[in-house]
Amino acid sequence: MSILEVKNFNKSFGDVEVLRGIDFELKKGEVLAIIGPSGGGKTTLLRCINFLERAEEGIMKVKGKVIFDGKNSRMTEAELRQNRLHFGLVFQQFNLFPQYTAVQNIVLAPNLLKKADKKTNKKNALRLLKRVGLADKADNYPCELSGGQQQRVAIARALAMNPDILCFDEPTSSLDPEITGEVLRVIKQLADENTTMIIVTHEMGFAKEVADKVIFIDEGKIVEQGDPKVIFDNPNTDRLKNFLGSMLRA
Amino acid sequence: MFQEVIIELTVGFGKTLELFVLTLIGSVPLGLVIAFGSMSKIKVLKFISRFFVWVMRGTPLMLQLIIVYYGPGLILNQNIWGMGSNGRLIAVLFAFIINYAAYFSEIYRGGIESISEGQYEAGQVLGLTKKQIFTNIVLLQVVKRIIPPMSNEIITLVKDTSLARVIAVYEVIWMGQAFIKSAGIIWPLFMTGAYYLIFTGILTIIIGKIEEKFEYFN
Ligand SMILES: Nc1ncnc2c1ncn2[C@@H]1O[C@H](COP(=O)(O)OP(=O)(O)OP(=O)(O)O)[C@@H](O)[C@H]1O
Ligand SMILES: [Mg+2]
Repeated sequence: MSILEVKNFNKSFGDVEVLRGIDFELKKGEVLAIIGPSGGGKTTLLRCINFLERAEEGIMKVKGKVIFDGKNSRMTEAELRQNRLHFGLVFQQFNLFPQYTAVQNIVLAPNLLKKADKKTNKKNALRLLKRVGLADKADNYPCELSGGQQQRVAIARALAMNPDILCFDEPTSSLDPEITGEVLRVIKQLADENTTMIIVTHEMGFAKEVADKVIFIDEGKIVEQGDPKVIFDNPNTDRLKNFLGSMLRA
Repeated sequence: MFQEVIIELTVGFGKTLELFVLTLIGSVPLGLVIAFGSMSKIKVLKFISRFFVWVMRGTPLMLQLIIVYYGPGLILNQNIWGMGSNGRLIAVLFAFIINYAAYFSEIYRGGIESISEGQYEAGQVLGLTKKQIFTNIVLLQVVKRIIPPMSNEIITLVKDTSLARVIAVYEVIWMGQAFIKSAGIIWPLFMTGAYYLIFTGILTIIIGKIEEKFEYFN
C-alpha cells in the first residue's frame, strides 16, 4: 500500500495556476526525486503537502487515510498540527533557530510537544546528531556552523519528530559547491536506511543515484514520471530532454 | 549655598527619575498591546492603532502634555486629574505613557516583522502552535533586535521628562531654574546637565551589558 497518495492537486496564486492536476504515489521506504525548471511549481507542491499552502483542489492520503481534501479543507488548528506531523520539511535556507544550540534546536519541538521526557528527547537528539556526523557540534550555535553543518542539524531536527515522510526543498542549493557532498551523503545514508523521502533537487546525478522514482514537473504539471534510469537515460518528451540538456550545460 | 543647591536639585532629579521609571512601566507593556493592534487582522483595530500612533508621533509631546492636562477641564468643565501637584503628575504620566507607548509599539512591530517567515514555517512544520512559536522561537529574536532602538528611545525619555515643567511638575530643571528667581544665580541650572549626563551614562553602560548578553547569536 502507498504511504502517500496525492490526487489532482491544483493551486493558484491569484490568476496564476501554479499546480495543475498533480498526481503521484509513494510507497514506504521509497525516495522520490522531483526535478524541473525554475518556477515549475516544485516548492509549491512541497509546501502544499506540508500544509504551508492550501491546495484549492485535490486529495491527499497518508497510509490510506484522507488527511486533506481541497473540497472540504476546513480543519481545526489541532487537526492541522496533527496532520503536519506526518511530514518533515528541510528548507533550502535551513531555518535553524539562531538562539538555540544544535541540540537545543533538535529537542525544542519534541520537548514542547512532550514526545517523550526531556532526558529521552535529548538522548535521541544526540543520537541524531551523531547520525548526521555532528556529534561534536551539539553545543554550537547556528552562527558557529558552516552552511553544510547547519543543514545537517536541520535534517536531524526534522527527523526528531519521526515523520512518516521527510521532504527536502533543494537542500543543497544555498551551499557552496564543495560542501554539498556532506549533506548529500547524509541524505543518501537516510535513503539506505529506508527513510521515505521526497527530494526537490537540481542535483541530477544525485537524484539518479538515490531516487527510486523521479517526477519531472514543468508549468505545474507532471510531464514525465518513472524510474530514474528511464527518466535520465531515455526521456520520452522533448521538454524533459531539453531540461536535462540545460542542466548538463549549467 | 552649594549644599542647598545640591539638595534641591537631587530632590528635583528624584522627580525626574520617578517620571522616567513610571513612564517605562506603563508604556513598555502598553506599546505591546498597540503593536498587536496595529498588526491585527481586524481592520478596525488596525486602523485605530495606526491612527493613534500617527497622531502621537506626528505632534509634539509638549502639545500633547498641554492638551492632556487642560483639555478635559475645558471640555468637561472639571479637572479629572485631581488637585495639586499629584494631579499634575498623573496628567504628565498619562501623556508620557501614551506617547512613548506609540513609539515603542512601532519598534516592537518593526522587530516582529523583521523575523523571517522561515522561522515561523520551521516551527509550523515541527507541529508547534502559534503561541509556542511566538514565545519559544520569535520572542527572543525580537528582543535582541529591538534593544538598540529601544535604548535610543529610553535615553530620549530621560531628557523628555524635563517637558513636565510646562505644567509645573517640579523636576530637576524646574528646580535649577527656580534659583534664578530666588537667588539670582544661574549655575544651578547648568548643574542639572551633570545629573542628566551621569544618569544617561549609567544607562548606556547597562544597555551595553544587556547587548553583550545577546551577542551569542545573530
Ligand atoms: N506566494 C506566492 N505568491 C505568488 N506567486 C507565487 C508564490 N509562490 C510561488 N509563486 C509562483 O508560483 C510559481 C511556482 O513557484 P515555485 O516556487 O513552486 O517553483 P519551483 O519549481 O520551486 O522553482 P525553483 O526551481 O526556482 O525553486 C512561480 O511562477 C512563482 O512565481
Ligand atoms: Mg523552489
